[in-house]
Amino acid sequence: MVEKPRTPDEEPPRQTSGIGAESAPAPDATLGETISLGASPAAGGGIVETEGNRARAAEEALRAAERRFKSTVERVADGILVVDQQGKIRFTNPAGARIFGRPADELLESELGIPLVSGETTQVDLNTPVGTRVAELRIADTVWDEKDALLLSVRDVTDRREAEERERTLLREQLARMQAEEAAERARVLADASRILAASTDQDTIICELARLLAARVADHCLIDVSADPGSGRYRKVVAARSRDGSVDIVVRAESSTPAPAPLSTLGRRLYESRATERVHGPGTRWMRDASRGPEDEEVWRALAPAAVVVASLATSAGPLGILAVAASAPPGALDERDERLVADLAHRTSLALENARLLRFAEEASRAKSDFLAIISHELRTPLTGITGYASLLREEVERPLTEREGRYVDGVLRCADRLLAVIDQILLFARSSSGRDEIHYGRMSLAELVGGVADVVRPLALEAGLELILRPPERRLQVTTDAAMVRHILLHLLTNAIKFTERGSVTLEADVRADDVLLRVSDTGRGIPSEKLGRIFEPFSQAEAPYTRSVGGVGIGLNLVETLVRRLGGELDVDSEPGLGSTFTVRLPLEARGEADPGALDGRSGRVSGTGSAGSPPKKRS
Amino acid sequence: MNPQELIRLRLYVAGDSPRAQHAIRSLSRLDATTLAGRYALEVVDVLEQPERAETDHVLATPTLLRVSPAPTRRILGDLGDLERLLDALGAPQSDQPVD
Repeated sequence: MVEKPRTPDEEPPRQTSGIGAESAPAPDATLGETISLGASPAAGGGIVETEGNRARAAEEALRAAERRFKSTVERVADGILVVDQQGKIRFTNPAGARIFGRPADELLESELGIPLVSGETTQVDLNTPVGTRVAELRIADTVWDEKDALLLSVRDVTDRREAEERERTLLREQLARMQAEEAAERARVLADASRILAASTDQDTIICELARLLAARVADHCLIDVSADPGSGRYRKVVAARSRDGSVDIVVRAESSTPAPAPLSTLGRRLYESRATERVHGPGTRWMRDASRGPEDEEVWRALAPAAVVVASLATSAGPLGILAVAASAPPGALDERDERLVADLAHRTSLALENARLLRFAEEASRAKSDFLAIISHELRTPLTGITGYASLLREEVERPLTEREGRYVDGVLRCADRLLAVIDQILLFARSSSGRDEIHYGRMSLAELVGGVADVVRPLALEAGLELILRPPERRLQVTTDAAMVRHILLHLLTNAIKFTERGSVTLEADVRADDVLLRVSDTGRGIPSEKLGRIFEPFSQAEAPYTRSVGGVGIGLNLVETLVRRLGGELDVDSEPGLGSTFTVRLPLEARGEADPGALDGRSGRVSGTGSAGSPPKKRS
Repeated sequence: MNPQELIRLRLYVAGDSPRAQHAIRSLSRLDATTLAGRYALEVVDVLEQPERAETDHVLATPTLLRVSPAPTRRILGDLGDLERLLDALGAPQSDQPVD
């Protein structure tokens, strides 16, 4: 007898221990029905049926049914095997032999084993002569030679599994690629954020730019709510929201309302204390209240209606500043733990940048206070000094009575000292004013030749006194320039007195020239020069090249810094070039605002006249 | 079956396939049964030792061979049904020893 094969689509009852085929109605009942159906057409036909005829017809029908069955079992693609209770294979169809990769007669009587399956099907590896194949196994109870046996349906799923595996690999690769792209994007966001943080020292600029970046690239919205100045009661709230077309709108609200809202929200306090970040999906009313410093904040949160939020604390060493939050309007999962790490990292960096901004502000304020102090002190010193000079002048002019020769020398000494003191005080005053950015530039038109000539006249006696030659090389042609004459005069006076101060023998040269769009004013000397390692520092206030100089020459050391400040305010540049032992050259390059009389041809012709320490052609070592 | 007798089991698997892992996991559950400490298991990878699979005439894996006590028994499949596994191994299913 041949069992009707189960197709894998049928649901065979889960095999239970000890229940034979007889008690399981499905296979045999179906089989019987099929046979009787197959037999019925042959039983008709209007023939007068005798007992023998009927038996023959029944036998005929049975054989026909068997043939149909045999053909079905032989042609079906699934392997059909019967295994007895010892695990021996008692039957296989050709597909079974093919799937096992062995001839049917080898399979018959080989021991396959008692199939034990926990579910409806299981997968096994077939150990075929051509390699391992994967097969799906279904088991049903049956009867073979009147004994309980097992019916196995075997399907080769190697190709299907390989296809599935390929698909899985493909999916994994796609996922990995997506993750790599996301990671790269995060790295880019971090780099862009770092640029923003490094580019500015202004708190408002930092938080606005950062909010814009985060709303555009990380989530849909960004909210930064910080104290403008800890303890001041002033707040800045920036809300950046991305619209559907991808553009980002920014709303900045400055708050110093009375009564002041709570300095820190419940959430802000919690995050500051825990130094952690918080990621919430579908934040509710209660969370929004916790994240708000007042009713206005709650309105903002309600308007954003975020599906997911990541919040981090912003703080400096002085204490909590506020919060940085990004919000996504897409469904949960839009912000994952990687976004949370990114926000935590950004909050940390932003905190540092805001701390720096704060420190810089303090430093600037302190510096301004110092300048103010210097200005006041200088002024206070100047007033009595004017008195000293005035009274000494009265004596010198012998208003009361003629002075003896010795008295005259003494009074001259007083006047000289007073003048020197006045010069120093003026310098300090000018420095204080220019570094606090208070004095204004008064532009005027004047002749360049007259300007440098006047300065040379002032310092010539000083040079002579020091035993130095003062060489003046005025511009060859008359040239009108527009600039602040007082500032230029001060710049040149300082550079010249400086040159005289640091030159023991030789000469000091003042040269005025025009190059393209610039006026070049050059002061060179044959002095001791400046060591190259000090060149970078000579423009710092209160610094002189070397300590010994400070003792051997006068001055307060703010001169070069002041000169540089003045040159820069006039829109120019100051270069210094120096060879220790040979001398120094200071070059002031000022923009030529009036070039009416300048003749380019004549200028080119003059360029050969440039002289000095021989360093004119070499690149400047310091460019301010 | 003598409860004192050691049951020698040999599991044939093909490489490190999920089928093999499943079978090994299933067998580890024997340690929570009456067979705990009464069996010795040897795992044979037919990909590494095809000649042993040939000797034992293993047609498919995972196949669990009860080497002793005689007669040898062969069980095929994921071995996930613990009750039937114990039954097939001839082991008592309860704490009551069977003769």
